[in-house]
Amino acid sequence: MIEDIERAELEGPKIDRRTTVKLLGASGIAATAGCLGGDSGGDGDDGSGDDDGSGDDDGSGSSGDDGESSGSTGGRISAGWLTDEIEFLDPHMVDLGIQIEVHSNLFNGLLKLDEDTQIVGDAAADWSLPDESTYVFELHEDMTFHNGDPLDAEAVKWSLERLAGMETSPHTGKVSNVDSIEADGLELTINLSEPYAPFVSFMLRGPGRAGTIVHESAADDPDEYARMPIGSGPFELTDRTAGESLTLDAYDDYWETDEDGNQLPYLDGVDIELIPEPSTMWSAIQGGEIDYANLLTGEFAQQAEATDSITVQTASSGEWSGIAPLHMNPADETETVRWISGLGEDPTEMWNGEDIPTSDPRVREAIAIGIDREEIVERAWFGYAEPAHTLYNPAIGWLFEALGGSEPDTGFYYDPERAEELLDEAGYTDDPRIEATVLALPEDERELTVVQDQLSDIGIEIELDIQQQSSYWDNTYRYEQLLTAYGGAADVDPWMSDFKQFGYPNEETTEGAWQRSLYFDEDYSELINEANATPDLEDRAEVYLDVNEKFIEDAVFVTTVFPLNPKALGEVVSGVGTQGGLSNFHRASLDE
Amino acid sequence: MSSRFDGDGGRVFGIRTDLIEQFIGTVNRDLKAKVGVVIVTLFVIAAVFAPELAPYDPMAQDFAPLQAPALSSETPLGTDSFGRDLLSRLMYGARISLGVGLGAVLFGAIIGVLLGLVAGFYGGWIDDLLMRSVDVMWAFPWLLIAIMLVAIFGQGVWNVVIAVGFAYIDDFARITRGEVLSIREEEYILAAESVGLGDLEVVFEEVFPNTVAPIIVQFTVLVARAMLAEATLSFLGLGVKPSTPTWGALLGQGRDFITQAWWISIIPGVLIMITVLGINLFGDALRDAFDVREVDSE
Amino acid sequence: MLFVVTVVFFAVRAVPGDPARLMLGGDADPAALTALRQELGLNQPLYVQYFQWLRRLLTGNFGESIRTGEPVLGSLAQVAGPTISIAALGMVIALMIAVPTGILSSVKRYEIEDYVSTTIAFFGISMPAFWIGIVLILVIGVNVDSIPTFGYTPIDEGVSPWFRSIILPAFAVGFPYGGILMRMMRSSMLEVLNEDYMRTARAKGLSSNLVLFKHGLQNALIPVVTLAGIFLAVVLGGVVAVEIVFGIRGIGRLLIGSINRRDFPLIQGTVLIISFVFVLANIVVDLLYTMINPRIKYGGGE
Repeated sequence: MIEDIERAELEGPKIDRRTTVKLLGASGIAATAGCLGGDSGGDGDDGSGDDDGSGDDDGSGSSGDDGESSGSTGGRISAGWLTDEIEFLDPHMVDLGIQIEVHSNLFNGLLKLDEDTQIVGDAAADWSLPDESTYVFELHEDMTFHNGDPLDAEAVKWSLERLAGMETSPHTGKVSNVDSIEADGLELTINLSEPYAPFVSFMLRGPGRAGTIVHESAADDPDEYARMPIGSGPFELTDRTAGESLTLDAYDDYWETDEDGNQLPYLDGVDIELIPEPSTMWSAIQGGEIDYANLLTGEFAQQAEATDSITVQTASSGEWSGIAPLHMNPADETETVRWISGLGEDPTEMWNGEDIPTSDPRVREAIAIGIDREEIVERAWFGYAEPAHTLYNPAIGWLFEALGGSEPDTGFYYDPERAEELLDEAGYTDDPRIEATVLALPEDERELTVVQDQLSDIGIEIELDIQQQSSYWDNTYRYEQLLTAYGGAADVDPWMSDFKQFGYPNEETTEGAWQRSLYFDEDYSELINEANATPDLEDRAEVYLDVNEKFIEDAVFVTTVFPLNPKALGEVVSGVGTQGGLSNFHRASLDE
Repeated sequence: MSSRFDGDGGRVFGIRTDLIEQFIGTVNRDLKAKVGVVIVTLFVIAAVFAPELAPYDPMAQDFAPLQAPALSSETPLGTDSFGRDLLSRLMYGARISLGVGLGAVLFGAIIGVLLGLVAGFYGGWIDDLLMRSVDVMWAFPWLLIAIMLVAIFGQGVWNVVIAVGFAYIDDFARITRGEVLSIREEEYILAAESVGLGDLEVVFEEVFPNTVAPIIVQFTVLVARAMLAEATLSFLGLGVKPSTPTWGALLGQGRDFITQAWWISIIPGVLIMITVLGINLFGDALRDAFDVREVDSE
Repeated sequence: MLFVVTVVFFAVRAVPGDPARLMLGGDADPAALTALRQELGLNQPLYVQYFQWLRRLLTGNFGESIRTGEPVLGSLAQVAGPTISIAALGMVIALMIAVPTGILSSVKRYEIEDYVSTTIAFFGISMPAFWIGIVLILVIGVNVDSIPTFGYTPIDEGVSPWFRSIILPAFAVGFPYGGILMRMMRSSMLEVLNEDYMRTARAKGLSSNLVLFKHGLQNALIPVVTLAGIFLAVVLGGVVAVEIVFGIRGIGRLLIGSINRRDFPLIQGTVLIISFVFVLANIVVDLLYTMINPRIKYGGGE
């Protein structure tokens, strides 16, 4: 249960002095940041050692340290992946967590998340910032791609420039303010056109993706590369059957070693089986057909915890969920809404002359404080989530802490009486006060069923309109529902949660490009842009106190929970790195 | 084969009294028929009076989740994973299951019978055309049709009714046409035509009443099947809206908890089984009463 | 057949939703979406896509899955194994239930054997196949270790593991069908037993059992064979949900998955193949029908 899980695991990093210095260094403030720690490939500078290991916080027993004795035993892990297909493995095309989880084992990024969800070097042994908009990365020596080609600064430069020139990549925008890149042996210099705080998070291997290093063969046959990519990670993809399985074999010449100089990875390989059904996944791990499940849904995670032979590890993957209320009539801003929707059609005129209750901030606030997040966590998520009183999830550790941790000072808190007062003030006194439809995906059903019951108590009757992804995504941009269930994942920087989702629409910068709620507010936009131009973390956090205050005051979006991803390890498996919702097998091993 | 109605036997609410009498006779004779009638009656009562009979609001999450059934407790049939009372949900579920079952078959029957009457009565190219179009439906299994219709039009009670009922059009069309053909050249039809009655009058006054017995039997059989179909669609997540308690949906929702809380799935499953059993028995009794031969149809 | 092909295409394309957005993730860049749609040929007018599809079909090319890039036929072949295995074994189970009970209940009409058999049949037709599957998992799967409750083992990994992996789903699919078959069997046996030639045969002194099997069964099988045509409909209805219950990657799962994903070429291909098999089965049934029943001959009676 949730109480038994260490806070550290839930909340991402606590900001201690050392990591603060390190992050500040990353952002170019601390003058001494550039100390070169990377002799012969060790991550000597980050101090956390077991970067891709799971750590011991969750009580999984053996990992990292005693992994080394069994480390040489090799062996293969059979792992279940909760999906029916992995479409893309080209990191520049990948946009789904389930794909990131695979390619995180196949590639290196410039940077990565360590076990405490802190940003540390991956291919980069270290980095420094001569000025606020220049990043200099020093790469490890002797890194090679799976085909033997050297991985040097030139290769990283090629990868970043490839991304910048791509038309169909969802990540091109992340390198749009890169002015120039210089490669010199193992030294890579990136010049930005202006200081941009989120940039460092884009260079992460896992959730960042832009900085994941793609081999130049990607240009020859992009489709084949998306299917069978060549990376530089600890495993190479050697075989796959569409809709069924992927075979990952250890890359013998992988550059990384553990603290004792043992070659990584320990395993000989990982056999990934695609299992789209949660109940099937549970049967499989329970029956020992698989050794690892990349995701168990709450009801099964609960059962797994009661099973001795299975260890459950939870981690925030930077995921947040909630409900977007419609702030205005889309027909009032035809041009802008047309751009946002990308559907090539004019927005609906169904709201013309109609009352839009959620355009009243009091109604939005009533909804936001009319839901009981603790109960949602228990009933809908079986305890595998954190209540979301603000927008910023625990994987953005520095900000999560700065706002006040799991009980932020300014946030949405359950208060049904106040909610009813607000509705009275707003003039909604009928029975029911408000009727609304909420557009949602099948996976939102449990949560919304609980929300439905709670809102019903304050006089708001909502009807669920559950649609498959294919139609959901189009319909979210048609604005025909008052409410839309919406969320994000893999958000390790606040930019990822607010810039495109709630910013003031701007076609050039893609700010506000994903507006579900049509919240067009210039003051808010100014605040988040100020924050993004503030690389100093403490200063940035200061700005974010204001951002958050404005967000809560305007009741921009009804946050519900930060889901935690329960992953299950069979008896013999240890050392899987699940930080950031990933499944890193770098240091995983089999105990016989 | 089919009982011949001469048009003078009288009707109650438009139903031929001779058929009702035959049915009552069968029920009196046959134990299975009695069981069927009792089950169907109970089911209909539960469905119609659900708001009065159900102890709680079927949507209210007022109890502890996953409570096992205990006759002495507040929730005699247990609660689901949200803490909702299963008994109340089952009663409301009966409503929708019955509604969808009846609605779907009615939809299929109205269109199918009309097509069959017209095709059989006129024959020739009209018959060819109509029956060919019905034939096309034979190229698609019902589930395929239903899945496509739901995919196109979205979830919802009416869409499910149509998706399920669509597949029954050809059953009714075929049976009706067959019956019409077998009586088309009978004297009383020819006589009616020669007297100068219009086509419509002949069809509805003379032809239809004489085809009604097999249609009623088929109707019953298909209601049972429609309820199973609704359950399957709901289970696949293609049924009525997710929060609506139908038996199929209840059953599907319990699947993930089957080892922890068997009752969520098993009780609705047993109810579906008993009800469908009852309707089938009822249908068999009708079949015996009207002396209709079992037809192969799916 | 062209009509069927056309219906399939336009019905599938009437399904709303955009596979491109699904592939790129919900928040994809509009420019990226347009580019991908272009690449997939989805931006062309529908009739152009229809004729392109038709032209390729004529050369036996069903196109490629949008999601996986694999040929549609290949993807289907990959998942056909489990579905065919379950269907075939289901058929066998159904016959094993239906033929003996059908004969027994007709011969022993209104005796205890009849009541037991008809009750079993009634239960069979009164339960959804997937629910039978759930109950089987709960009762047998959990208690009998050697029978897995999920997944499918291909036959080339051994006959016994294969058989064990499909026995429960096959029973779930076969039992309802067995119920329908049994009822058909019983009523046609009863009818046949009352026919004049049966009475004559018996009067001639042929032994009762011989008569039963040689003449009775042969004639009683006619409607049963007819029913086999619609077996596919029953199986498909059952197998889709049963595959999900048992976590088996078969045609049913592929179909549902491809519809959810709006993988148009794959849906079109799958629906078309199912329809084709369905029509084919009905034709085969017609042929069988004339073979078994010498009294019916097309194009001229006796």
